[in-house]
Amino acid sequence: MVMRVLGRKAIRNLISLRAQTGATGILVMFGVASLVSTWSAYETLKSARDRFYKSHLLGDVFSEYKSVPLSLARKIRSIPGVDQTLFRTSVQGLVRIGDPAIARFLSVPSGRDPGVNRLHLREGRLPVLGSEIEVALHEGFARAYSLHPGDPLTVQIEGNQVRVRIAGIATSPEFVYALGPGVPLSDDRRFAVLWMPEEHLNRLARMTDAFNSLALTLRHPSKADEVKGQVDWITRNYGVRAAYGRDRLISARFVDQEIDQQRASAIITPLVFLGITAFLIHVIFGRLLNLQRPEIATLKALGYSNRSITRHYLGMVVLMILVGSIPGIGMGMFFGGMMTRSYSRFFRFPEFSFELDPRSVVVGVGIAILSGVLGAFLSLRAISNLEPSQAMRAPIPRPMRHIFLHARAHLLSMRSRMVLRNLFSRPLRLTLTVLGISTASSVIILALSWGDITDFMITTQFQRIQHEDLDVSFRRTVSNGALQSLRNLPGVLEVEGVRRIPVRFRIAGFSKEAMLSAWPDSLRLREIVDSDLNPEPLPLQGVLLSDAFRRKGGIRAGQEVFMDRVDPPFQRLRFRVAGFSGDVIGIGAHLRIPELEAQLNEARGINGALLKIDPREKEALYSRLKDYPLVASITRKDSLYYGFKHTLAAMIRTGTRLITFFGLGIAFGVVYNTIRVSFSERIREIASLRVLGLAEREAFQLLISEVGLQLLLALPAGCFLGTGLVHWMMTSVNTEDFTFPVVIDARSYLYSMALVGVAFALSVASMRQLSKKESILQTLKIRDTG
Amino acid sequence: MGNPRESREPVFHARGLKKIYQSGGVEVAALRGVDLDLYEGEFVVILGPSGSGKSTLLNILGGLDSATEGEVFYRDHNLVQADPDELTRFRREHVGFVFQFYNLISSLTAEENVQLVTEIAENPMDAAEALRWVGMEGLAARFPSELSGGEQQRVAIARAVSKRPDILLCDEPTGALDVETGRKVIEAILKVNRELRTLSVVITHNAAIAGVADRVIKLASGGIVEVVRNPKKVAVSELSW
Ligand SMILES: Nc1ncnc2c1ncn2[C@@H]1O[C@H](COP(=O)(O)OP(=O)(O)O)[C@@H](O)[C@H]1O
Ligand SMILES: [Mg+2]
Repeated sequence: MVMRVLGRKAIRNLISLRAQTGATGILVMFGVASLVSTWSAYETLKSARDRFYKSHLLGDVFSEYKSVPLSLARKIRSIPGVDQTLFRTSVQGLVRIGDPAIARFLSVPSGRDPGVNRLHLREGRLPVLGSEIEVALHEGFARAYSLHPGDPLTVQIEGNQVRVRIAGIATSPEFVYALGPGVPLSDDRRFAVLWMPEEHLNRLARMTDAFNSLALTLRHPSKADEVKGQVDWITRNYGVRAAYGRDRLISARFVDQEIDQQRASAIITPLVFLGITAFLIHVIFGRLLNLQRPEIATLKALGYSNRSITRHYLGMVVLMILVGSIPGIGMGMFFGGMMTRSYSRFFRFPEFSFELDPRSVVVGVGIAILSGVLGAFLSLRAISNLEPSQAMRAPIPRPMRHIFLHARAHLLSMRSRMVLRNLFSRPLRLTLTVLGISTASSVIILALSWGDITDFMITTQFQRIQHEDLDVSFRRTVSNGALQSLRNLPGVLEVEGVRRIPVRFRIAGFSKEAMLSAWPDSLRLREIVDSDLNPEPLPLQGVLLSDAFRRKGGIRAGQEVFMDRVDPPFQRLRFRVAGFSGDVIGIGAHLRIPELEAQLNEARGINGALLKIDPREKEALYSRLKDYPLVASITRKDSLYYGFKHTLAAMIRTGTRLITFFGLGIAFGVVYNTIRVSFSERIREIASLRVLGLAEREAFQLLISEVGLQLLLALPAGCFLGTGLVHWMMTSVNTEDFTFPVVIDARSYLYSMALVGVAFALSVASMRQLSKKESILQTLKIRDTG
Repeated sequence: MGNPRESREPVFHARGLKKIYQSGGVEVAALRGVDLDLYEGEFVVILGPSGSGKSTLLNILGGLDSATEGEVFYRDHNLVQADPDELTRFRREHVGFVFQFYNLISSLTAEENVQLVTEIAENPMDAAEALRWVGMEGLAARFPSELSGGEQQRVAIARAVSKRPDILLCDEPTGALDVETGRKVIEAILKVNRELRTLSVVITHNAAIAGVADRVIKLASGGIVEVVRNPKKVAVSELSW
């Protein structure tokens, strides 16, 4: 019976505080939604990955060769710890469809699933050996061109044009993220994976009794290093590259990186929200309890214990949180579904639909309640210290600090003094409020900066650094004279040779595989820039290292670095670091060709070229170059640009919108609550001022100046905080393939301030309605209830 | 009512004043037809049991509340027809209020609370002077939380009179105070009435205060039941509470 009465009181209190309950509810809703969506998206991604890898037997160890006799396969199979094995042929070729696309051809047993890296069929069936050459085609490419089983395709393998027929559309755990060679991002229109019966592919690739790619699964993952060593040893006479694990498989690495980032945001975003929720509940409750002192005292005098009163108020907090949590779960599912859908455009899993992780709901609501209880706790402690006799009296006004009392106070009107003293007499609260609002604008800045950063990267890469149209790599090293035949092709305007060597950098305790690029002295088609993007000429001696090495490895100019070539003749190179280059896409080192040749103990020359071409001849030239026997691969600047503009931008857009939306949620929750709390606290003063002859508008202005000042403090603080947040975020997400510069457009600052300003304006407008309705007499009459 | 002042123009002139509250579907008549004239320089005490409509009457006179029926004139201003802006201006220019709870602004010192009014009034007195009036000149720099109840109430009076109002309306100004403090407060109000010739209307439960008034108006159940004129006023010090 006792609790029933108190329970009714709790509900009535909440209803009379509905505006604050609502604004806090919005925050809780966003907090729970952000946790439910990011966590569930993380779990969805992770479980889709784990399930797919397991059910379709993604290899644990991989290796690529030029050609290894099949007779060695038996030896590899019998390495202790090896479970399933796949010895296959893997070649690069083209698919001739519209604009030819780079293709990876892989052999599979006719009509059967390979033992490792099994295919998951979306449509049709596995290719079988017959008079026609059948293939299974990767889903991404098939979708990009609306291809279906039964459709014919013209492909080119080792210079031979052949017609094939699509038997099935498939995805594979090996190509969840299908990334073509030489590009940093996937582009389904430019890269295809095709699986072909081994008899056909071996014939086309001229591979007899040999394989050039292996994948195997292990009985136990801890054996990986041992097995890799054994594989390398068995194939040592054919070794081009060392065996590697899943962590170096490109698709797996991308998926893992995304999962890591998703996990980071599943931790950070909800923390921000729920921290702010705790603060707001603290403020709201502090005020509520202050106003309810006489009631609390009465309850105490009637014989209620501290415990039951505390329980009553905690019950209110929990109710308040639940009010926001339940729609938060729904909103989280909605956003989670959105994130999942945006992933499914890049990641090809057999089944990939958003799954609500019940743990995220439990944890989300649990943390929300915890943060609310924590926020209320400090205020609630005051209850126990309250003597009933003392509490029955009206609350003693907080002693005012003697600020703005002497120094130049005469310059301030009484009303300004009121505003300033009210603000500065509670410095902790002022700080927290300013922090709350500035967090909102900083989160929005963070969201918007993603767009600024990608724009900046794109502009830098495509307007400042890359001046060529085509970047061609050769099958072998040739003399400079070979460039002449390229120069003679119709449509070619300018050609420059380059020598690129894949190396493993060994720098101050970490090692990383990247490209060492040697350029001619007359280099014009590439601009090398320093980390501030000022032109940086190639040093006469030594190398320019990517700035990322300096930031991660702490290396300084003048030091020596070692690089091991990862292809024959596996030579170790040694260079002095002359300076640093601000590479945006891909990291590595740059130097002059003579500098490199001085150390190489093999043929001089070049193994690639940059071409500037006549745009009118672009397509013709492109198809022609692809057939060029010397040419191994071509990277088109325009498709790279397209990949960035569309793929990356689309990926970022969803995230940006979500975070901006979350930021707005915080802004609204904090600003509205601040205004609402100030309004309730000042309501008597406002009424008194109106008795003295101030118009409602004038009295209301006082309130608005108080909150407005906090906003004014918060906006620059938010810009500051936002900049810090972006710096912190960028250093934590720098991937192996990109170096993210910190760029924040002035527009993003303005936009974030404008959005917070909108939240402010809306809150002010709704409060004005309340203020107009407020009756002076009622206000002055009511002394002690909320 | 044989009133010798009838020949003079009243400051307030009310006829058939009614105030009806709708409270939970029930109509509560706080005032049920009040006729009243109040004159310049008068000291009027309103007496009556709780709930008899005293505050309602005072609030309507001060422009804080509106009548449901009837007419109220402040000189030639019709208060019943006035819009909120006109009422605000009326309060600002002519009325000083004192309530049971002092309603001082906690973030301003005693002197600043007075200056709050002198800043917006047309012909105010100096804030220091107003405080001197109520004997608070020594405590001008204190914040309300540093003052006793009686001191706060005297600051409230200083604040009300600093604009040299035409009318001083006090709703149970001594209600929260002890005898001695209450006496000081009444003395301050009397002094204002005597020296500034301000029409002062004071609501009280305390019949003893009636002894110092020119006129005592007794209310019961929303109507005037008796008006008593005091030909000879008693000095405050002689009041027995
Ligand atoms: N806002 C209101 N709503 C409903 N009834 C009210 C309201 N204000 C006052 N009353 C009623 O009007 C009557 C007169 O109130 P009031 O003038 O405050 O009396 P007094 O000041 O003489 O104690 C009372 O019965 C009271 O209950
Ligand atoms: Mg009253």
